[in-house]
Amino acid sequence: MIYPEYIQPVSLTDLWGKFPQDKKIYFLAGGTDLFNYLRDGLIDASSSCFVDISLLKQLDGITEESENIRIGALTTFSTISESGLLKKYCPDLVAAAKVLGTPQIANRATIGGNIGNASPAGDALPSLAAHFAKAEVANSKGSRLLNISDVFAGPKKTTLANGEIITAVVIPKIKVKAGFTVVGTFKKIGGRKSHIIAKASVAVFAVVKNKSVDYISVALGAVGPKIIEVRNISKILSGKKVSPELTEKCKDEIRKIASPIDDFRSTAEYRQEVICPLFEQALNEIVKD
Amino acid sequence: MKKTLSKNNFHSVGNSVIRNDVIEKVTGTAKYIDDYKFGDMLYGATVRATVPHGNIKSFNSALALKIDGVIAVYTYKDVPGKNEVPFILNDYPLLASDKVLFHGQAIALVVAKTPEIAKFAAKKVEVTYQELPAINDVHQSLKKDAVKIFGNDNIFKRYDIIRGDAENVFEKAAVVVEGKYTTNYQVHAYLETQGMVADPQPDGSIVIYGSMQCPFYIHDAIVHILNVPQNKVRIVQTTTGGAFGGKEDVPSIVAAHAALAAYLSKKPVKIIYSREEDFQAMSKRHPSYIEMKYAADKKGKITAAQVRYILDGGAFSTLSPVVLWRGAVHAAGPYNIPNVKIEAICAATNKVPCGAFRGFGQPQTTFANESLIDELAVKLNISPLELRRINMMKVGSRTATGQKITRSCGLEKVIKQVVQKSDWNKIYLSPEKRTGTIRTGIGIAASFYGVGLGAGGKYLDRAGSYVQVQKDGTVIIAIGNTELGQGVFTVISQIAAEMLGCPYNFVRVLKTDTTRVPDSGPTVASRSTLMSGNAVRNAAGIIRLRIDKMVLEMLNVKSGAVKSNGKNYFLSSDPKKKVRYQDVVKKCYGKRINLTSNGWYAGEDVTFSQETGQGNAYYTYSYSATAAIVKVNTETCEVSVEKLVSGHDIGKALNPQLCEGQIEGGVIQSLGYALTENLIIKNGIMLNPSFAGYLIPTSSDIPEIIPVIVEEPYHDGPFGAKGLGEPPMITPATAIANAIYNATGWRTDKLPVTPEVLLDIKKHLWKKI
Repeated sequence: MIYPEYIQPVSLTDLWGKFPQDKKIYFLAGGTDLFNYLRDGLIDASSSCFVDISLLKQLDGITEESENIRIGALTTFSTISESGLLKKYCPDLVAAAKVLGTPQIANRATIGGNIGNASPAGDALPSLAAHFAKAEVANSKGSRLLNISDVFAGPKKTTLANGEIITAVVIPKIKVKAGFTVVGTFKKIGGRKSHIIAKASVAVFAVVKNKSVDYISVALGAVGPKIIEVRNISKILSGKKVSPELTEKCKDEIRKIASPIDDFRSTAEYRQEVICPLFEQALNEIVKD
Repeated sequence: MKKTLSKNNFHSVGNSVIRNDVIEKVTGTAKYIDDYKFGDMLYGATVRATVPHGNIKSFNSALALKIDGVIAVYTYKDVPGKNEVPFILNDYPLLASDKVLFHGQAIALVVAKTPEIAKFAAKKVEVTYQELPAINDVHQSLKKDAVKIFGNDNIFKRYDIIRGDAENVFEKAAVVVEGKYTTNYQVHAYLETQGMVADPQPDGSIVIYGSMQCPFYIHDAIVHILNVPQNKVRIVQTTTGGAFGGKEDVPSIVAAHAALAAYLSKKPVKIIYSREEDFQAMSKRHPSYIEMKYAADKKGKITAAQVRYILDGGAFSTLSPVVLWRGAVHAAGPYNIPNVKIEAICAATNKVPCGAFRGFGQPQTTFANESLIDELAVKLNISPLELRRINMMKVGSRTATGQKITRSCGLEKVIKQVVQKSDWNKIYLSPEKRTGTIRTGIGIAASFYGVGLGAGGKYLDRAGSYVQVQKDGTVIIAIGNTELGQGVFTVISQIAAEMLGCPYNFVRVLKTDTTRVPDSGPTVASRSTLMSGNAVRNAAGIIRLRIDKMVLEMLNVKSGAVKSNGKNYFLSSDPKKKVRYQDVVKKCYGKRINLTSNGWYAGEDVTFSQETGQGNAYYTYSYSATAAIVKVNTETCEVSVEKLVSGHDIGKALNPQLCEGQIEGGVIQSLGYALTENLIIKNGIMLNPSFAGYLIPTSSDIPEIIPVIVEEPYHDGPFGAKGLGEPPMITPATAIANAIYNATGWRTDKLPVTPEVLLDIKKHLWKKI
């Protein structure tokens, strides 16, 4: 009987010394995806090592810095959904955390894991992309910041080297003009009302005063091999009032950029059809008189 | 619901007493099969086919046997009796010998010291195949030049039911509607996966413990496979975490695998399936393809029905012949139609074998006939309710098999109450009048359901019981039907208490065990209350006669009717003359009176003939109708079910709260069948064998459910009861489909009607306009 090798470092410095040579490293945080992969035979146990990072408490928690909000990789979605700091700066991420999996999954699943898993349907990812967040990636030589979109190489694939770890995600704080407020939401369509993986999802983050938009950023999930940022929406709406005409223009941009596929959860045709109404629902929810 | 429905003259039945297994289940102390451990116990894992159709070229277990902790690898060569699971046609091998017919078919068993080692080693058994072309659907299966995987035509079973002259009527009919309908698989999704422990005894006998519906089926299977006498096999049901038909037939396979391994290794062997394995190898609801036609006169009287009903049986027949039969008998709908032609076929494909599932072929035919009835109403320009009112079954109507309904038919009352409680008249608008992005719709579907096995399993429709009053007045009961969560042990306790005159909580029903009562048939077909209920009524009635005699003696009266209020016996003519229940029991024991009895019940005879397709198919029917209220988002094609009102004529509600529970559970299962449960098998491989990919409703998907109970007593049922287990699963899905049509004008010919299906209909309609 073969299990993956298992190590449990007690500190970040301890981490690097312990890695076995010639094994594929899997970081174990909540384990909500990893154990499924192991059980389904998607991980070759004999050539793998699970590095349990649950004791690395310095990776857990949400802190406010002068320019950024820093979310430790071990922060769970339950914590994110309750965070006052994130409600203030990233309401869309809070909305995503609230509909991720079930309460049981949200209690264990971590934001670092959601990024590392690199699923195009990962619920936190459109929001992180909309905020132009950066992942803090560390290896034995040091750490670097990587644009969130540069972490993903494709469905369930990252650009990280074996043994590199995501230690935190860093979200820039938006400057808010007087009289304006930060708004944001996350919408997904799934096969049922809860406990569901998205067929299509959208995060919208904006700084608004009623229907006037100072800043807006939109990213789409599950309608392409990676998360898709719809940068042109910012050009269409920034400095303007949201109107049916402009909304239609935004939807045109979305239609152009979405490139969904067929799989057992849904069809490309359906995903393409619903991503625009989904965006419109999100926009109407946060930008109103 | 605390109050009873009709005037209730009983002290026990008709009351919503608390179910007798509630504490252990709510506190988590109930013992399921995986909680059982025996000394020296080994664990089995199954080697399964990795191709949908192929000849086995080579089999090599050498690598697996080298793994530390592996005890043995068993194949078909090791089976001492017959290498076949005895269902109806015996075409299903216990372990594949020279060929495999579906991806996931069992080929060998690995027995090891831990479940992890067993599962790991099962993957190391090397099997090579010469792959053969696979049959993916019934259309392919029924082609003349198709590869043959069963007999010379790939047909497991065929029925023809012909009444009157439908073809002639269609030619001359004023109005004809027709449709083609398909339904997909449904997975039982019981919380407890399949599992068994086989425990061999020093005397050469064997005891099987496990999660099951039908201990007597398993008993037959073990005898057949091990080639041992019937008295050397004992089957004991353990607390079973849901079944829904999925533990009717296929547990015989799991039990026989465990028994084979235990018999050969001479050690107890446990086999517990993972969820994925359970998805891949255990039975499912049959996908169906149905062509349906109705003819009517201008006033809306239906004059003929024609049905071509095809089930996808999968690789082996299991219970397909009887599933086909039930669906066929009911396929024309709960209507009085003089001319009927029904052709029913179950075809073989290279996919997982389908079998029993709550509703047993009827949810499929109901989807066809109740969708088409709505289409007929549109064509006749009358309301769907009016069309049903004109044609629905009443006392005096005849079914498709020519059976005259002579009694206990509450369909009219059911529909009336469902219409009223759903606010139909306020909500109904024709689809053209609905506007906006999110549109409301209301729909209805009705059905009738033959209670028990009927002519499909006539010789099995009997049941035994054993009732023993102990010295302190408490009661022990054994029956042959099983508790699956439906609450039958509670209802049996109520019936026994009513008959004996003791308090309900004095009665204990023992876990079902094949050594306690004779073969009582399966726990299926909504038959347990009727069959075991009557068997217990019979046994308790015999004891009660002896008790009544003692009561008269104790009251010093020569004769008179004795009654009970559940605490005391008293004279009907003089209620002040009373004596305490326990005192009578004590006196009986003192006087050496036997307070135990066996009981027996055999269902009324049925006359259906396979040759003519005519005759009485069942001795009684339950009737049901469901109204669904939905909201459809016409942009995203998402459907939200807002309310389901489901009404059922069940003869008598012996425990109204349990009846409501059955209705709510069935309605939810049907809601999943309607909208979200979509098992996908591509080229013989299941793509979503897990609850992350196969979506059953969550609590947030469940709407307001209003259960409605109608009581039209069946004279031969216990206190008038018929059956309720399956009917709640039959109509809601179609009511939802009809409500979607009412909201949007989008008529689905497919279940599940996913948003993707609706989008397709929407685009198609717009193209036409």
